[in-house]
Amino acid sequence: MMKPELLAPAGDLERLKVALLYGADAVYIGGTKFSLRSRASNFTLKQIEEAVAFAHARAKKVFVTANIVLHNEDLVGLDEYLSALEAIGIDGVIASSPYVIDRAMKHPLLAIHLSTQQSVTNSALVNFWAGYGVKRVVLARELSLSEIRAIRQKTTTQLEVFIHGGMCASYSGKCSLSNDMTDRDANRGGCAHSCRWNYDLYKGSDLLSKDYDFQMAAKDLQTVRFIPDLMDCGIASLKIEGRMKSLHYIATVVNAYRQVIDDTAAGTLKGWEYYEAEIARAENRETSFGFLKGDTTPEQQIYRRENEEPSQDFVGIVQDYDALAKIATIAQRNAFRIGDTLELFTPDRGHQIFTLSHLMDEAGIPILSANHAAQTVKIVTPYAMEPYDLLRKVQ
Amino acid sequence: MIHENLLSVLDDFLAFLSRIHVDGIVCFDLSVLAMAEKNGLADLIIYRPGTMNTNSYDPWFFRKLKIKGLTLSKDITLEELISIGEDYQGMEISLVGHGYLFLFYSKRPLLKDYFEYKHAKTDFLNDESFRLAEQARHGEYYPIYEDKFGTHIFRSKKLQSFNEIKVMRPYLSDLFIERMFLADTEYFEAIAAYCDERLEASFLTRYGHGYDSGFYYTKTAPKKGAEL
Repeated sequence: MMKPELLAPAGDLERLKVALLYGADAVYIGGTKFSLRSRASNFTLKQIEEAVAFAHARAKKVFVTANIVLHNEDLVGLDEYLSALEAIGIDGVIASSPYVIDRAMKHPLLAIHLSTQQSVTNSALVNFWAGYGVKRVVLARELSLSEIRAIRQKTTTQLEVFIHGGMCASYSGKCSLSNDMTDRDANRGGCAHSCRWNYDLYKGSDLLSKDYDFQMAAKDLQTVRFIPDLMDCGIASLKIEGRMKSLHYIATVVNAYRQVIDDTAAGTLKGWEYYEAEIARAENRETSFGFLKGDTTPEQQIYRRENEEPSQDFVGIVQDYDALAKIATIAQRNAFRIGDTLELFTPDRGHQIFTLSHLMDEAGIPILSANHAAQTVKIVTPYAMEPYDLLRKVQ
Repeated sequence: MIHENLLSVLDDFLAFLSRIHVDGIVCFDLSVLAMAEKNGLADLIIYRPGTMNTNSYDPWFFRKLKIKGLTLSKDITLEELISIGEDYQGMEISLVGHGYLFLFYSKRPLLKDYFEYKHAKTDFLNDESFRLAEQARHGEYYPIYEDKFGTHIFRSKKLQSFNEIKVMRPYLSDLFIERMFLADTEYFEAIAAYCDERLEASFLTRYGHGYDSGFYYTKTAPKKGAEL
């Protein structure tokens, strides 16, 4: 069975490197202009250059989003930007606006991927865009598995499918709730997520809801159990959503899907619960399979918002390791202390559990706890570590 | 939105429209153009996606595809609309200028799901009487409507364009009036007022409190915190 590309998001260089090290075949990133997800820390051209060098050195790919719906004031500078991206050697540009698509076609080394902002839902539209010169189409998130399979059978164009992450309540690119309610343009990176707010429902003048309990928010997508079917369909790329997600989230989710894809191809799948439990460590948000089984039900909606605070399991990232002294330098991300049981989470060397017995500050002076935000500390470790290994607390 | 199972239905419908010699086919989904091209009907297509067609290049792009016309976005300012009109005049340009404009289209059956969640037996399909009220926006009621294709939410205020249309007239081939949620009398009187300027004042006196100017004078921010 052919393995599809595993495509991961990255909000900055550190997350990009983690995504690729933890198993992504490709990453997608946004530049400082022309990209949605305004709150994601988008990349400068210099950072894109470093990202491409890092990825290509590992035979992996970088795609750059330029997927806003452009107004006249946004048209300026696009040609120069695309020329710069082509010179850097990115592997493709993800676009939705006809202007970006046409201008990108002037750059023969830039492959064009059609963004999900165009909400492509059928084979006729896939073939329409392919005939225009688009190399890959990102399908709408509203498709069932049988619809995806039917489209696959009627086109030779590369198809990309979302497999994990946040879901718009609306068809992508078809929503102006944020524009109307907050003057923030949803289709130019300003979405205020008005679909996640609380509403009352009236029929005429009769109030039908109680305490604003009418909600539109969709549970996040999680499709571990559908990966073998999507691979069987011949989908070119399986995409994880979330350029604003944390480093730990990226590492954990990417690594879990990497295992699902590899194990499916090798015929060595473990029980689904194994992969799902791993993903559940990344974030405390409710998930469902979206539209993959067909029309949604209340099960795919969020009515009672649970605690969505991210897990505090992730305590630090390894910056350096002294093999002789068996001392690792750690960038702290959440508090931990001597006596904690920690798990070493690595891209390709498995997981190891140990009890923390020696903790020092940056100068090597013993301390009891690492409780300052972003503190650099040193630990004595029974296991060899490498930069970008992660440490998680075992509860 | 046209899903795979509707392509054959669309194909038949386009053939029917061709046989009866309609003057134009207004579409929200570009799939209609994709299918019309196959049937040699592209020159009848008026592409009206709502959120898109926001810049001066879009008419040039669609002219290459030899379609009949383009309806500009409902989400841009009058200044931007004029700028697009001034930049290009060789293609039919239209505007949705009156009525409740849509804000949101979901495939999710949001009313059905909500009533199921509440264990409530309420008829909802194709019912125009439902409204949403957001917790922090008192007095704003957003029409919400569910049909077999999903859920649609509309602006809380109706749009009227009596003044703006005079400015845009040199560039426009068509002005669309949204019919949904408007009473018959209000709908017919609106048509009359756009056709006869002398009726505008009486229309606004009678119905004006429910209207505003949409995004004509409201510039949206491309990013959170961006300067307008």
